[in-house]
Amino acid sequence: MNVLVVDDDEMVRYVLSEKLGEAGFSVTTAHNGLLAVELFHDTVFDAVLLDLKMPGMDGIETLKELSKHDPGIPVIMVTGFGDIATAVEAIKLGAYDFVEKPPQLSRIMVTLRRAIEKAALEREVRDLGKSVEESIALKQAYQKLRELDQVKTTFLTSVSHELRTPLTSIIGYAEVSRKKLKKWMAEDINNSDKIGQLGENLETIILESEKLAGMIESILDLTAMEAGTAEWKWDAIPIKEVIEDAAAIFSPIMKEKGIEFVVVFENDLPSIMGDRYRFSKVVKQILSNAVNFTDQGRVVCSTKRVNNDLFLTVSDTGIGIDPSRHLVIFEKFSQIGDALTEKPKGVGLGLPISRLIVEYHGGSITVESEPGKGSVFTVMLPVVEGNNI
Amino acid sequence: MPKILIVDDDPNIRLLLKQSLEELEDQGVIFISADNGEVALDIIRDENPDVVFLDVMMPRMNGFDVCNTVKNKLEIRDVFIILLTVKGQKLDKQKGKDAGADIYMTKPFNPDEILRVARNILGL
Repeated sequence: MNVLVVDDDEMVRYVLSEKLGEAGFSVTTAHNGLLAVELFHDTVFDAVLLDLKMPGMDGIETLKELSKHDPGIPVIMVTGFGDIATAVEAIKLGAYDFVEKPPQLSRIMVTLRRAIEKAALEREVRDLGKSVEESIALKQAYQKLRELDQVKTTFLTSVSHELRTPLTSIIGYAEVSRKKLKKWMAEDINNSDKIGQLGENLETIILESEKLAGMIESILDLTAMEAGTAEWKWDAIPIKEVIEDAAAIFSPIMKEKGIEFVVVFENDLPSIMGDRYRFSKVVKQILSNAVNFTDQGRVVCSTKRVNNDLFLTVSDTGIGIDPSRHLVIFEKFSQIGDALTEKPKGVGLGLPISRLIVEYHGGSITVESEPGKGSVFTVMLPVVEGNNI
Repeated sequence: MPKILIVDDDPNIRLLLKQSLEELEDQGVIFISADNGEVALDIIRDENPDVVFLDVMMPRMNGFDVCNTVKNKLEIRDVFIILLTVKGQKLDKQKGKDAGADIYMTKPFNPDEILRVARNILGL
């Protein structure tokens, strides 16, 4: 037990530290209030024996300072004869008790022990109160974590399913082709039709490998962007060129599905500062969604400037999205339904990644949609002035 | 003539199954394929295939539902159903059993294993 003895009388300090030391306390002494306060800053004491009458900073002032620093510290005032009134004031200020001079050691010991015990109990009660609050907060946090964990597990299940689908093709076609090749070589068959089939199998293996690589890249990219470790390029993006390039990829697919595909640009498009590769991923993502979820009608991709913002809008006449899902689709792990019936396409990270990219550029991505009537995705990006291409 | 029905919404997997089983064609086996559960169910009713390789994860009607309808509702007994799904889902195994599947195989699958199973069932 650390006890601080504050008294201007050297004799009192000596006697108390001797006797308390013998009783097992570890004693520090101070000859005035100022020093006591100073010692208090560096050392943790279990109790203080404080002389009421001292030159300079007196006992009351010292008590106030010590309580400011540690409100729970038990302070026992040591008072001279006839100081009762002041001693009572000290108690009101939070002192634990007072003992009269000349100090009776036995009384001091008892008071000290009680004071320390009481302070410890009070601390415990305080901590208990805190821990009740903490345990409620912990419970809520735990609940939230459990929910997140559940979402994550479901997500991982659906991701691993999506990753295995191309893998099934890759492994399967490689096996089948190897077997065929072995057989044909043994039979010395040199038929161009058969060899052509092997070529198609290899083509499938390559395409499915690329699909798989794309999915893995998406997962890693999202993780890196969220962790803040992603590398971003920052150049002027030739918007029209990027959109035309993306449109060129989807044009044949639209044609094949019999969907009318219209790409419109406002005459002078401003430049946008940003990461061209990632921005082009956003454009491809929303065009890809439009073509995937539209079976007939048309897809219109239009880009225009309104004041200081650039708007890229892709509207389709596809299946549409239920209003309850308009915000959720931009959250990662949202592409989860009953994996058996609503089969997600890809790993379902396209829109969450797009949102991260657009927001990194200071813009926003939103959707307006009605089931059965189609969807309109709008990407808004702020224009950087004085940098026209 | 024995008939094998291949059901998967992924055209790559359909073709892969077909190639895995290809040499059975020499023994007169006929292949039919379907890209969703509803069509598969119609074919099972109308064409009476001997063996069905049935993917589980499909839009509209999944493999469990097709299997359950065939085995438990329509009570078609002379069709052998092989459920195909991704590896390691315990729940799926139980569901497959409940749905009355005859065998349960996992993706990625080994083409030789597919052929061996088909040969065993058809006795070829």
